[in-house]
Amino acid sequence: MKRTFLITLLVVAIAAISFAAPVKVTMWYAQTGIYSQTLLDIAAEFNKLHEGEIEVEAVYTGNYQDTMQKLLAAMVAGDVPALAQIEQSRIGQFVDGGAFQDLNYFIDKDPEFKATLDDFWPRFIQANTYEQGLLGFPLNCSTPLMYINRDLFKQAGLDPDNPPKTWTEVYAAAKQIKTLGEDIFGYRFGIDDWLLEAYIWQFGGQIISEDGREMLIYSPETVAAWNFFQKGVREGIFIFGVSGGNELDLSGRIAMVVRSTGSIGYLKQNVKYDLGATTMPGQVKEVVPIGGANVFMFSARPEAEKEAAWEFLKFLTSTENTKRWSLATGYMTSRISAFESSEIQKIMTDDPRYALTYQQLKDSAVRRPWYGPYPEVHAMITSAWEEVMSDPTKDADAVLKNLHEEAQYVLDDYYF
Amino acid sequence: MIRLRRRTREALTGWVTVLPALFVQVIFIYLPLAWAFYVSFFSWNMIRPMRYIGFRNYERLFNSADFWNSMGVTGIYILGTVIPSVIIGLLLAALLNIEWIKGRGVFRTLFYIPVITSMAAAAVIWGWLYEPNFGLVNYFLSIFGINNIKWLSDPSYALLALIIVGVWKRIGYNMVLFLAGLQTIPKTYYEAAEIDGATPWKKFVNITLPLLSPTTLFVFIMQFIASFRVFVSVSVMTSGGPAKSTQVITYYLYENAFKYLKFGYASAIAVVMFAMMVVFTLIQFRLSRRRVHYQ
Amino acid sequence: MRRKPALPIRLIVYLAILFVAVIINLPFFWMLVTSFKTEDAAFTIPPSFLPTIFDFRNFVKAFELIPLARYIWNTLFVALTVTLLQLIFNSLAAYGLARLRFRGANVVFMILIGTLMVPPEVTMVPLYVIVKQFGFIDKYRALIVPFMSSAFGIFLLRQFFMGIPRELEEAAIIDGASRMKIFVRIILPLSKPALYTMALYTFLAHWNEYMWPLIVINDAKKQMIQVGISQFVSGWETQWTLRMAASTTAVIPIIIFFFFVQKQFVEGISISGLKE
Repeated sequence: MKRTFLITLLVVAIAAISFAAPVKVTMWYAQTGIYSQTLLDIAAEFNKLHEGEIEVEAVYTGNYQDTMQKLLAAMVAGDVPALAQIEQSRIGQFVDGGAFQDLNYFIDKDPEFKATLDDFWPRFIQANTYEQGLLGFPLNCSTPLMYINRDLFKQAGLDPDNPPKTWTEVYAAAKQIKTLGEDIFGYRFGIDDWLLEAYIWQFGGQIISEDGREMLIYSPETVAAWNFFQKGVREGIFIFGVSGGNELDLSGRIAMVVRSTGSIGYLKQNVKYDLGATTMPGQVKEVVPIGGANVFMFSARPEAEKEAAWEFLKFLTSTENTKRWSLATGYMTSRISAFESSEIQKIMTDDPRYALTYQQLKDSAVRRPWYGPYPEVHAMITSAWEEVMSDPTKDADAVLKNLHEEAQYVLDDYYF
Repeated sequence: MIRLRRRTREALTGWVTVLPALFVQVIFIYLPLAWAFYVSFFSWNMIRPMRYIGFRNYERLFNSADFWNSMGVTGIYILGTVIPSVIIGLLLAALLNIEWIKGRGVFRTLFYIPVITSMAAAAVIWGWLYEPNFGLVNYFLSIFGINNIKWLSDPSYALLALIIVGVWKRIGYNMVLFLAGLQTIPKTYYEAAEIDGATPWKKFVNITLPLLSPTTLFVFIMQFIASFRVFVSVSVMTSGGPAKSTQVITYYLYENAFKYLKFGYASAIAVVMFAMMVVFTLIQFRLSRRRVHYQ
Repeated sequence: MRRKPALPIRLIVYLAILFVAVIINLPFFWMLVTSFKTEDAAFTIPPSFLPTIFDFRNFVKAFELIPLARYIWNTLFVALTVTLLQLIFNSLAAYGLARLRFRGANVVFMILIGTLMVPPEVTMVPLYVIVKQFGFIDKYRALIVPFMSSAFGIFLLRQFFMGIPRELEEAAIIDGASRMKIFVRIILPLSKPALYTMALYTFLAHWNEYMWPLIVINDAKKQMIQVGISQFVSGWETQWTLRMAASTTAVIPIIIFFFFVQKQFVEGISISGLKE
């Protein structure tokens, strides 16, 4: 009798241990289509490997902006997920508010992983390092490339194998291409936020000081940059628009356009012309922004959950999985070892256009401004840009001066 | 005595009928509004703790050029959408109520399709249609010799482009409401007028319009509020640009709340918006009192 | 009976209606056509009105990529439940406001109408907190309970009820019928066009709801149709043709539904004979 009781007790105890609920980790992501599928596949595989211990639930949360809205509502209600994919320019106030977990805390406890840390592209680690520590891990990162309609180049008597390297050369090429017809344009641009930053940097200007407290946008360099693009529009050889860009690119009437490296696959599939690509032009400087999103961990979650989330984060960014992610989506690998793998190398030997982004990543890619008040400053920049580009007679100098003052007011107010 | 009891019973029944709805609205709309009112006196980004700043958000709001710009933009948008969409909706409803017109069901459905299409999808399509170089709108205009309007990229046309979309989306909506309203008008009135030899136009003005006035008041107020709160088409098609030319008040509020994370300030905007809409709606009710005819 | 006007006038009227119908439906037509196109054919100059081939692949693919059928089913359930609840709550309140005399009725009406003027963008956050207190997060209740009644519906029905001749009611009262009986037996049957209108609009609003479900629902299996469709949008490249196919799929059931019920808007029981 006693024995049966003991055995029963034992069985119950074992059952209790083995059926203990796994730690649930929620990750919010803003990816769609094939991107989303790859992420879900990786999560499913992870769950299989950690059955009974950790269960990762990946939740689709709309686009980057919708994700913000969901995150903020959750923040107020104390409901944040353990992990979230957040777009680079939107993180500032989370960083300043101490919402993110310093990942060094886990890395220091994990010598095995720490040893492989320099396998990540250094510029990615740099881009995720803040005063508070290493806050994010790269997931979907890209840089801007210049795409070229090689057919138009040839028709205009230009050499598509020797594409423009500087904005001055872009202008010259565009001018020649314009002679092909009234509805042909040399260069198309719009209001893509990261490109506005790139233009200013490439002409030698700056936007905000390193500590985020000082506006630096009003300078002869920025004025020169804006005048350059405005002149192109005024003369009709560049085309500016806030919408409809994609349609124009596909139509074959645009000779040059700068878009994400992630667009290669899409453009290759959908354009009818001979598509070329090259690194984004420089002018005074060669510099490109790193666009896309990183994965962040919220410090408010319980310890056990964060430990589990850390396991998943490692898994997600392992050589194997970052390779898989890159193969499926066309985004950059976050690890060098993945980049060196035969599969990725083969893609680049088959189509050298895919190698360009890594070249930029090694040479000239920098983090975009991320400061708390930057989204507002950024909106002001966009608005000023629209003003100048949609009205060829607008005085860029005056607009920038005014912008500079008003944006400084926003910064002062934030740090008040 | 009995009369009094009947009165009390009527009042009691009255309260019973409205209480469930009132309860839902108070908990899920007024409670959040009260909270927003509270938050409007704080500086708060939803991440760090709130900081009390008194009336600073309101002061700043009334001194903000962006706020006044967005009020102006919203005002033009309201004027541009409400009146045309009500008039066209009414005319269509009157037309599609005529008995000799065959295929009325099909037409009604056709006019209703824009209403059904989600604004998010419709706004994307309109974005294509407005594309200056190959979009359908300019393609048609070019037939009439009007060329190369940069609809969404030109600050002087972007708001007009949004107004057109707004009117397009609401005509069918109003049409259905008017159709429902038309059914309450007794046919005998028309028959009597016909005997007197009234023209269709006379009948429309003297019978239809006055008897339709409760519906018209409803449609007007609903359209006014909907225009005041326009958001999706702006967000998808122009993001308030170019150069703030389409920055309606709701979009301004949204940007402050969820892009700049100035939630206290955004709450102040919401409170002011609420107050303004209440005032305008009360005025509309007051003005309509003598004109609206309940049977 | 009224006479038909002369043929030329009829023709002009028909042409005018047809013209407006065509213009107003161009965007929809464009969406429909695009969903049959291949991505590269979607953008040609001049724009082509007909797809080169009638290609259903986008639809198949859209259904493959996301559980569209599941989303449709979920949304149908939520939107219908909300509609049903609103029919009850709104018509009751509207009846009270339109027909019953009680102190404070006007204030109640104004309070209810006032909810239309609250910008949802700002109340979304506190609403989330409230809904969480009720334990509704990730449950359909979060999509249903806060929307059991609406000022739109109450206002619409009130306006309609006020148009119903009072004599009908007074006769019933003299016969000793209770108010509720009058409401159910007389008012409701006479208000079919308005009830259908309200039901349609409520259904539509919840069918097209995007932001709120995105915020309160986490489980992908429970998600709503508009959130599902949005999965063809974000990221670097929108798959336009797929998105249009999915949007078309979301619209067509409602168009068919509307076609069949639109008669009800106009051919509900007419009051005309009753009043003289």
